[in-house]
Amino acid sequence: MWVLRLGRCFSGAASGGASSGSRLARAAPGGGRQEAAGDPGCKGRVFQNPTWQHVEQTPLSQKKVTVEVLDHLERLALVDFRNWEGVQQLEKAIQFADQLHAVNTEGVEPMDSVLEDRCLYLREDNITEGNCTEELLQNAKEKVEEYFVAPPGTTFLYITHLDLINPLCGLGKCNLPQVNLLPCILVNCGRILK
Amino acid sequence: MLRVSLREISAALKEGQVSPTELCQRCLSLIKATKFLNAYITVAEDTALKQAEESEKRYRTGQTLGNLDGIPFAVKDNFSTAGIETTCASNMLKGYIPPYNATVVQKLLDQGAVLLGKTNLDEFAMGSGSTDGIFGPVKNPWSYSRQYREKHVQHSHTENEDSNWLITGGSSGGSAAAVSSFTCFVALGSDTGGSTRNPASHCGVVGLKPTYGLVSRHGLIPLVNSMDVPGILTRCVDDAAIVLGILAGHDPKDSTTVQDTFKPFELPSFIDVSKLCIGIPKEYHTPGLSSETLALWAKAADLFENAGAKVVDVNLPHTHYSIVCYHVLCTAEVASNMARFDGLEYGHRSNMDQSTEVMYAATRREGFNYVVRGRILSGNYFLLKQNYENYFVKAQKVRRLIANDFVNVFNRGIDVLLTPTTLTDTIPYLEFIKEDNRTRSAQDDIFTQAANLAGLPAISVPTALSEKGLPIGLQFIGQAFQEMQLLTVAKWFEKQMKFPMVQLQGVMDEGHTVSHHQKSAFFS
Repeated sequence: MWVLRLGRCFSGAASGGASSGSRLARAAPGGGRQEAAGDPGCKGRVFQNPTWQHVEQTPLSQKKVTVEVLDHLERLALVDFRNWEGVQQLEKAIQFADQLHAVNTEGVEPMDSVLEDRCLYLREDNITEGNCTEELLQNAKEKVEEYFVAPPGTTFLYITHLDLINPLCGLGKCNLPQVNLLPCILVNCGRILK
Repeated sequence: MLRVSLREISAALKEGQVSPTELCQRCLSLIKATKFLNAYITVAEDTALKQAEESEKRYRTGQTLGNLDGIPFAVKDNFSTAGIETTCASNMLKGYIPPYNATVVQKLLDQGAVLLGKTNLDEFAMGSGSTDGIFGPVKNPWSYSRQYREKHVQHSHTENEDSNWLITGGSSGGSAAAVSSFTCFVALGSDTGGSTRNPASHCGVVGLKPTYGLVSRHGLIPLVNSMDVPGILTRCVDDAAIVLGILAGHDPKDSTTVQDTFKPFELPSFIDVSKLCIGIPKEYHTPGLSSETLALWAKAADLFENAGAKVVDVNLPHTHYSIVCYHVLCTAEVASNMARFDGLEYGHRSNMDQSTEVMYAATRREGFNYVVRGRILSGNYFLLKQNYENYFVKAQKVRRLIANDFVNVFNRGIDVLLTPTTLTDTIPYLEFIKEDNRTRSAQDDIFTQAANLAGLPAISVPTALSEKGLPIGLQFIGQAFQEMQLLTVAKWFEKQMKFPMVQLQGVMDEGHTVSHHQKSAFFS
């Protein structure tokens, strides 16, 4: 686990590797360096002991993801992941992210982009390229004339995927209405046509 | 001849010591001979030879396009290349042929450079080993170097040599291996969390991540839009400066490139560092940092001090959180970015066609590996209405704190920061795969990630060989858009360290010490 405990120069926590590091660093050229006063962990300009440490996270904080959330996520993400490993991976990812809560962000504005301090350029809303229908269609597996072809209708995925799904989702879970939308969908450059 | 720098080969081409076609053929045959490294996914032999021929004509008529005319280069396989398959090392894009060139690729082609092929990576650039792509892992050329083998063989003669090869780091491992094994003179990588600098450090080459907004991302298949930057891998700092001069600048097709005009620069031959102030961030001494890397870092700090530079300790107190912060922002942006892959317009499409959604889901299950699927899911989790403030916005706030740490340091008069690039030298593949992708990325990106969150330029410079005979790189982080200063410092440092060239010649002929694949052809 990569939970962090802040601290300066744990001089007592030097591992074998770190102490040999001090030796090597001291042997390196460059006499006349000043030692930081009163800080036995600092030799020269580079700290000789790690300035922070990983701490094992207590298992108490581990969050379980509910079946409802898993259902919802699967539909949002449009990938099936509900095997044991997938759920484990997600829970670990959440646990990892929870370390953020150790940081005090009171009064801090969220940062979207490092270029926030300047105006970003926008092109004139004019067509500058085109006539590339054929080229673009070449990468599609199924097409009719100038259209990309999608399979008919829209049904929620888990209904057809029950056999792939794991112990977490029993048959009783899958009682959401099946929705059939369109008999066939042709997608043309982002627009859906009946 | 293939081992010289870009500048030297450019001079050789101008003086007619070698023709573009001959140079291209030599590179192509070296690519074949080093196929076992798995550095390239696609070798564009025919188009490369055609481009070389055209370059040759230009040399004959004295109408060359630029300094890079006739010079072979390679591109990471997550940059779009017109007419050349672009896969991102994923089943999702297997067979995908982009209809256009990424701006950076086009700029190199406009200079007359010759595109040899597309290099290997972790699937969609998600990883730090170049081990998680569908075309298999990339092998580090240093695994076969005289420097490593001489020290290594005596320790492990009982082990199977074939399985002892080392990883390149990643995710631009193919590009780093390509430059390091002399199959090209420059390669493009991408850098979202250290993906250019990490393999550069492990493969003993220079890896530059420019300031966010300086180089166009148009045509780079996005991972994290707010952090992705095209990276440059070369044999020396001067070469990186030359290539940056060509790539940098505003691109109307990328609204996140800044509009300030960029003046290409040449680095001075005589560099005075005595007026510089070099910062040593305390927090970059992390648990797990190898004693050798630490010693080198300290030695480098001394070197600057002895040359008259002011070297001072600085604090970047939020650095610890950069990996966690990145984890949330990256997965969130991935969740959104990867929505485009649905099997309809391009890429893999599943045969399951009961309904549109079934097709989407099956396509994405078949197309993405577990790392990509995992990031899409956790990203969607962090973006859920009930989690958005708690995770996504929280991470964006932490990002500001991390970026502000740098602002504070540079405001104090620090010119450039000096840090390690990676915790240790590279490790064997079998060792690397003992941990999962997320854990590895968290460990390996620890020194490189913060520069991406803050958008700053950073460069990894090969520094020295470890006791095992493997490269260790150190990193310089500069101020936004101050590439000239950053590269000048890096060049001075490079000159002091005199990093040894990888010795591959001859080693490959000793049959018993090398993998059985095509060993005799390598560097014969």
